[in-house]
Amino acid sequence: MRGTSRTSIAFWIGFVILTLVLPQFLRTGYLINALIVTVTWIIFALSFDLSAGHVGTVSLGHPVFFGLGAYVTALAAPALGLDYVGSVLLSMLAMGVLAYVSGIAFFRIAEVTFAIGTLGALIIAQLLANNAFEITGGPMCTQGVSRPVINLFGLTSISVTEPIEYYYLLLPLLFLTILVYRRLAHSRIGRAFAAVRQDEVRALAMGINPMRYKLLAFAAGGALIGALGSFQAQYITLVCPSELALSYTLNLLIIVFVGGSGSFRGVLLGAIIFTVLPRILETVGNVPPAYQQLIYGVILLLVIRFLPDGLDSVIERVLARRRGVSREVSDAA
Amino acid sequence: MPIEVAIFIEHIINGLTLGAFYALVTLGLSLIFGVARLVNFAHGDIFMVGGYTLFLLLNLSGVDLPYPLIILIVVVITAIVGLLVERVVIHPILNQSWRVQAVATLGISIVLQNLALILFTSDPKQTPTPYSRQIIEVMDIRISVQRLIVLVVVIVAFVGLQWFVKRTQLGKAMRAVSQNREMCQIVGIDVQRIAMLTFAISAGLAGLAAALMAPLFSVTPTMGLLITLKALAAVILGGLGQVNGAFYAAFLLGMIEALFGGYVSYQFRDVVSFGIFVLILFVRPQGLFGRKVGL
Amino acid sequence: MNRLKFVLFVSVVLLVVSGSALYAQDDATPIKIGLYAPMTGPVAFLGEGFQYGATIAIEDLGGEIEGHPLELVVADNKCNPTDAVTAIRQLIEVDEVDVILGGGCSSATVAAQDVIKEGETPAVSATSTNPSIYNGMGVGGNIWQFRVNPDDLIMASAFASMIAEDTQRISLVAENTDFGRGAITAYKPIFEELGLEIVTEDYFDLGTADYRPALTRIRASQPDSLLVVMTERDGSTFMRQLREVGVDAKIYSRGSLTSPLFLEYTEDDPTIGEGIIEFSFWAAGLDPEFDAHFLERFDTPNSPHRGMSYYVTRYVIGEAIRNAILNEGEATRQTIRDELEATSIETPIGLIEFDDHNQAYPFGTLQTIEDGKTVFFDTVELVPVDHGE
Repeated sequence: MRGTSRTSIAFWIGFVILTLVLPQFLRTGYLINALIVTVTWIIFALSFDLSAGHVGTVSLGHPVFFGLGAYVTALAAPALGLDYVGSVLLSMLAMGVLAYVSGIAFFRIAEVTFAIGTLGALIIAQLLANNAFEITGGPMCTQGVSRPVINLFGLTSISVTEPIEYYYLLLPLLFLTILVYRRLAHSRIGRAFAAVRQDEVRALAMGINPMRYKLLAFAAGGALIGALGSFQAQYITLVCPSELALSYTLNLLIIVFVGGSGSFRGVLLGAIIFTVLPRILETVGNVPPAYQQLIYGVILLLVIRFLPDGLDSVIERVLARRRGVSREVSDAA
Repeated sequence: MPIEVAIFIEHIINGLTLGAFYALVTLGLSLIFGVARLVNFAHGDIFMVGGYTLFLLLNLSGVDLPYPLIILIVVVITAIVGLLVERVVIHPILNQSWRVQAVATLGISIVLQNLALILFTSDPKQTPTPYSRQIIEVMDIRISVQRLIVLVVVIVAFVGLQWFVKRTQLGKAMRAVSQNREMCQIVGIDVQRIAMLTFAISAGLAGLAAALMAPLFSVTPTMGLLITLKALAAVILGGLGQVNGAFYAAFLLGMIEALFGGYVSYQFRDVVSFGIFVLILFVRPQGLFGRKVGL
Repeated sequence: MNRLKFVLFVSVVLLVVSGSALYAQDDATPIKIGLYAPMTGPVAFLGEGFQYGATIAIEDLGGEIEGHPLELVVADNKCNPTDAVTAIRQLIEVDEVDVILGGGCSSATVAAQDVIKEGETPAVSATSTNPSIYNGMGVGGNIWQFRVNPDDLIMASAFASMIAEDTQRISLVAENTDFGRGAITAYKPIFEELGLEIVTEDYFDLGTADYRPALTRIRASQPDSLLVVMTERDGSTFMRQLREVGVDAKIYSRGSLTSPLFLEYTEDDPTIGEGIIEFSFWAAGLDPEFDAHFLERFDTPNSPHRGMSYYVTRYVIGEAIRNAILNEGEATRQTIRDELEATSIETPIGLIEFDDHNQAYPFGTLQTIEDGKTVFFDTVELVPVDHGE
């Protein structure tokens, strides 16, 4: 990693330790579940921002890979006799391949057409899940997905039931996502991403094949979110067509735009606000659900109006001021 | 006439009326995209605002307004709502990318939907007019007068919009802006004012759609969602910014749905219509009726 | 200073939020009833209906039972399993409710089962008609979940043969939800067994605006009867368009197409619902006094979801709490559960007693619309049926 400074190493060590010990301070399943939801949305949003923030391709169909990843685990993993790791890998592989193949088709179109086209794909996927009753159970959902079992070298196996165990099961996926997100952002590939995002024609002239990098980001995002879908299926133990809902796309856009697109810190911030705020509004303020939604809408509009680069731009500015005028490349950004 | 033929004719009529639904919502959406390059995800929510306005007007205590006047008031009110939305939300971010603007319209959508939920609850509001009960029967095919009104008005609106764009000062300016924004700025056309007025007209068209269509079903906070998606598909299929193309595409979608839904499976009709939509995009990224343009 | 304005706004929001928290005051051991239902999204009307019913039930109980004030806590499950887990955990672990009232939306109900079981909190379902929950309740493993309303398998066994009396060709029409799918899954095999010909089978997503293409096909198939499984909301639009297209067939409803709410939705044309025959576990007219009371209180008519949540809260949950206090000294989750299991109470919807699967058997009801009015004309005894694996 270029320009890895001592502070950023300290940041990451602190981050890892925090994620490891945090649940130990949370006493109830409710809070740990809330933490799982937060981490879920961090992964969801990072995998989305991989394309949206770095390469500039905003797919409104991103939840397709989440939902189908969940269905793959619910429907195919038992037939293949896979354990937790196997089923996550299966969903990951399936969604990575699906993203790659569909990307070849969808990247023929661009900008608005791409956005609406991918939205169309999401609607098709949800309608299929909802209506292919014999396969998916439609609105009655695919029920009875088994809880995770991890086989240890065929000798013994661990089964997971408690929220806190689920949390630790989810952590590796979070770390993997962050690693991929940052490796792709801060490397030779990251510079190619930026070139494609800024100007595709010029990128081509520089010898960068935009299609290749769009596909790379899209497939990586699809694989990561497919794996998350697999986790989700085994956590909730049922998979419904609502896992392919348009509302997930809305949530992603809120997180990424409120937090700050293209920045790890921004997406992290967006996901935390988006998942923690409703819990506070509910439990502390007793704010009725419709009013909560209204508040998100207003926050989104305010951020777009006053902070078009997201909340992260405020942090960035404060940090830059603190560091002095000579703005260093912040590795945590 | 053999029964199969009669049924076939009825399916065609169903396709036309369904197409008319989509076309009426599509007109405004396509217009605002053409002129301001704005993907307005809140178009269906302004349609919903029109629905509730209609509901309130039909239930004004003591006053019994004639239906045409009600339609007019709904159009004016939704146009004002559109104007407000443009002033408050869109105008300040006119220089941002289309993505930011599109997400802003999603924000508007969330706000409007939940305001409606808070004000009116999710109980569907019924907005029948005398015409939704009147039924015409020709050769065993029954259809409500309200549906025929929709069909007629959509054609009138389409022709009127053509006339407006081609013949009026404002319309010509709108066309100019849609074709070359930068050039318009250079020759001194107030692009921002044009965008604002277009937004108002677009919102008014959504209001018109609501005033005519809501009597056939009911008014709910989420009534705009599905129809926005259909209209977006029509806008893209028609060729971005091509109002005519979007109009034909809306009828095409309606016809596909009615025939597939009527003869094969109604529950899979949207899979087919959106499937055809996506496939066409792969073959003709510029849409069915669009000219090929650069990135 | 736009940024400053923004920061100010956020601070104000946070202040308001934390300020309102101070209002929460401690009362002398209140008993908390958690309402677990969809409060936002396309089926928010279910949750709203439940809230109406539970609210008026608590009012009719005088706001307290044996000196313990009753408190209603609402959690929005949004009718999807992911939010359902958060909502049910909130009720059990944060709000620490004593008993849960739930219904509608079986995906959320199913998702909550494990949490309810682990959280050892009694939960009573009032309108969830999906047969798939039955096997897991009571002796099936989850002793904490109860269901008052009969499910569709139980009802289908009683009603399908009635439809078969005057029907050879039938069209099946349902909303594409767990409710619609669950009902058709229960009725279809029984119809086939009875030798009926199923000429069309359609499922409609919630909020469908135009039913005509399907209705034209149904008309062309010339059925003797339709079985329509829809709530008032979509059902009123469907019936309106069915009359427009002119389908000439008898309409059987397994939903709520004869409720006062349906009549309100179709009040511009009372002929829309004329002659519909409905099978349910709730009927307007079963308890005319309460229907009037409800209308007066909320200025909107009673409906199955509204009525059932009232009866379940007022009689089943209310009685269990009362008995827990009187028989066992205090109302805890455990004592309420035990008293629920022992429930035996006459209510306007019939005698409520739970079987070994914690399933109750209120009346089946038959009702129709005559001259623009709901007419309740019969009850049918419902009995346990084989739910298979």
